[in-house]
Amino acid sequence: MNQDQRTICPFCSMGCTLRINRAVGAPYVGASEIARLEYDEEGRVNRGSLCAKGNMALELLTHASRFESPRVRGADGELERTSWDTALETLGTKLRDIVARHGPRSVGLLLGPTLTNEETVQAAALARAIGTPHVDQARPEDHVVLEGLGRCSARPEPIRDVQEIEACQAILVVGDLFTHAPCIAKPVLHARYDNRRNLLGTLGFWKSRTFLFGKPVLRCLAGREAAALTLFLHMALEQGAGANLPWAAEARAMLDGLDLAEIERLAGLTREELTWLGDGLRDAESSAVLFGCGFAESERSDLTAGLCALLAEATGSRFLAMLGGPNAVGVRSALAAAGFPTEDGLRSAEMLAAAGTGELKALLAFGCDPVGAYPGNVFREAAHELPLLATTAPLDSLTAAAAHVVLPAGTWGEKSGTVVNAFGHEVQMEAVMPPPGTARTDGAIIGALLASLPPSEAEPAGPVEDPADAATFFKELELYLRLEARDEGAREMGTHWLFPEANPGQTGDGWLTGPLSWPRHESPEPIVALSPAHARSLGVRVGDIVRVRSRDASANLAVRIEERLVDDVVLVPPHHPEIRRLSAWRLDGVLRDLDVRPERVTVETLGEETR
Amino acid sequence: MIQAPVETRRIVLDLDRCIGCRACAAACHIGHNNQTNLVPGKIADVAILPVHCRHCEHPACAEACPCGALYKDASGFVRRSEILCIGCHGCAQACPFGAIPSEFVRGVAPKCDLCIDRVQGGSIPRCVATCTAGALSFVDPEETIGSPSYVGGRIQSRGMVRRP
Repeated sequence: MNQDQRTICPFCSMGCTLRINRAVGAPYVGASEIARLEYDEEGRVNRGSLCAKGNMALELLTHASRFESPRVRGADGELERTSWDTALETLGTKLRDIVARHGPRSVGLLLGPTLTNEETVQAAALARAIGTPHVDQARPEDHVVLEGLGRCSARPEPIRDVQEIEACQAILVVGDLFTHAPCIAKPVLHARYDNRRNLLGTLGFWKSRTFLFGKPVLRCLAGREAAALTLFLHMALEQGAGANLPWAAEARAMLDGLDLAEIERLAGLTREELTWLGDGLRDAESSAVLFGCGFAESERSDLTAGLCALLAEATGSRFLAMLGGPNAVGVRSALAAAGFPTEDGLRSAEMLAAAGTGELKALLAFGCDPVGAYPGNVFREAAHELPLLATTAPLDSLTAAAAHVVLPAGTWGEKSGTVVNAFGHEVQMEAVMPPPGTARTDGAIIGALLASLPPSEAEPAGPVEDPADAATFFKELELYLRLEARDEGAREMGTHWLFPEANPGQTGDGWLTGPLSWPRHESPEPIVALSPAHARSLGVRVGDIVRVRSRDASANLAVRIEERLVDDVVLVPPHHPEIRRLSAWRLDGVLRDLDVRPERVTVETLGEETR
Repeated sequence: MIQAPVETRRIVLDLDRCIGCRACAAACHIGHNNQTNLVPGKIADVAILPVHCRHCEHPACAEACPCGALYKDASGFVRRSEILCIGCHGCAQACPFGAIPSEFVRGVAPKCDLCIDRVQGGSIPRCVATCTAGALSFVDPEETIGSPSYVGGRIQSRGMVRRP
């Protein structure tokens, strides 16, 4: 007897529905033999579509490197299999010891993007029981985008359903949305083609997948979406749009003080080029702004996201921001409801930096792979020095390789709970099968840890207020624009900007997509994509090896020539660990997270003998 | 929409809509036990489009097969017998569309079977079901000329639609 079960895709924030067809009553004999992926045509977001990554979702359940029993690092430095009782006791003892010696503030908790709302609430209770304020979600790009959206204080009407996109007469897509969330392409193209008057404007720096469908196509300089959107916003406000909005006066004051010619030069776009689409957005009965910038795809994703929301509110458009984690919105709001992050609590990136300086002694990573997911080398080394690193991991990961205690966790198809997708819907994640071996869900693991600690006496804090502050946002935008204008001269010859080429399934997020076969199948070798003119100037052809050198690291990569690329940019698939190392690690003091701006690199040939 | 009988239905690609996400190839890969029967073809670094089997009237692959592993079944679909195939790559070279990938898995030709397990149950092939942009459809190619979503459309070659 077969039974269909609906659950949601674990990879991005769209929350696509997928169906698992599974033989009921059969004992667990390895998911591949009994479970098949089906396409759910009644799915609210995707109507049966699934991107390349989503198609690989089952592979996560049946992967050969799944952990089936807890492991504890022995005296010889090797991970050894053990029982749950021993593992939890070891972890509890070490944790209590560190709290007793260094205080509760030396412990940090990182929460992954696949944790459900219920698990997040439990993790917040665990942090309170330990007595630490350091608890945050572990996903740098989502954190930065959500922070920007929160601070800009715009409240545009959100897109709640894909039908609303289909009905739009004018759409502005910022960034390469079709690559990051391919399932959104169906409603967008429906709006573009099935009503011939429709506008589909795209804003970005190279002729990406989304660009091929845009009309008008707005091409800004690499990473300068924020500058281009500033021009857009200026134009909209000048024409009297959104004059009654609470932030409008502050925006006008700041924008009037700017040298627009300078901003045009900075963006690489003129205001005339934006007019057509700007008018379209304002005049259309229904319009939308879709934000789809991936990791390090614009110089300041927070400002870009905030400007998109401001523009949407000013022009009366609906707004949708695509995020990386399936429950990025839910984890953040569940933490906020529990009173986190507190003012004095470290944010995720600060925790990793604090682990490097020795300020943090213990790190508990639930449902995430910080070593594999964060760029740069700093935490990679610090992870091995930490007195206590514990992780719940469904399968082998770089964090598990450094951890003292590895607790095998059930992943997306093995647990039930609520997550909040990018549309703001609470969707139900369903358990399709039990976790393999003795693995438990993150919720059960956090619950067991919680039970081993003495109950907290601290009063639970009230919900954290939204830090919306338009004045700060515009001040920061002004600072960015002025600084960039000054730095313009520093774009010296020979340096290029390193951008991640986000093919589906290649979004360097540690164990979540790293071990899947598809990224390897699509791009088995670490490659670098150069523009034809750049390749000519270096005298290299497809397949030649070049050295790409960044501030912190260098890597030898095979050349691919990309006709659509601009000359001052090189693209790399970010899923290869050696490529992840090229991006450096920087903390942004104001954002209190990774400064996710693109890296400056030089590309050198290795000489004749290596060809 | 009138559903044509299965025998006359083929996978048709709307070139205007394909975003090159390769989800079709991934669905094929995972649905056929890691054998990718559908190759994403690269067009001069500008676009990536799925090159799917046309299930020809007179299949060149079947003629090139030395051991009768490729044949037309009762529904008119060109099928491959996994037992008879010797993995000689003859079909891959004979196919005028390049629809048989040169990467052979488990020693046999990766040949589109139109997801016969799904199609026989009244469903559509995996690549069509998963298509993120609505570019692939499983229809009678002759019918697509008049259908409203292809206004002014013309068939460039069998299995592809593009607006003039």
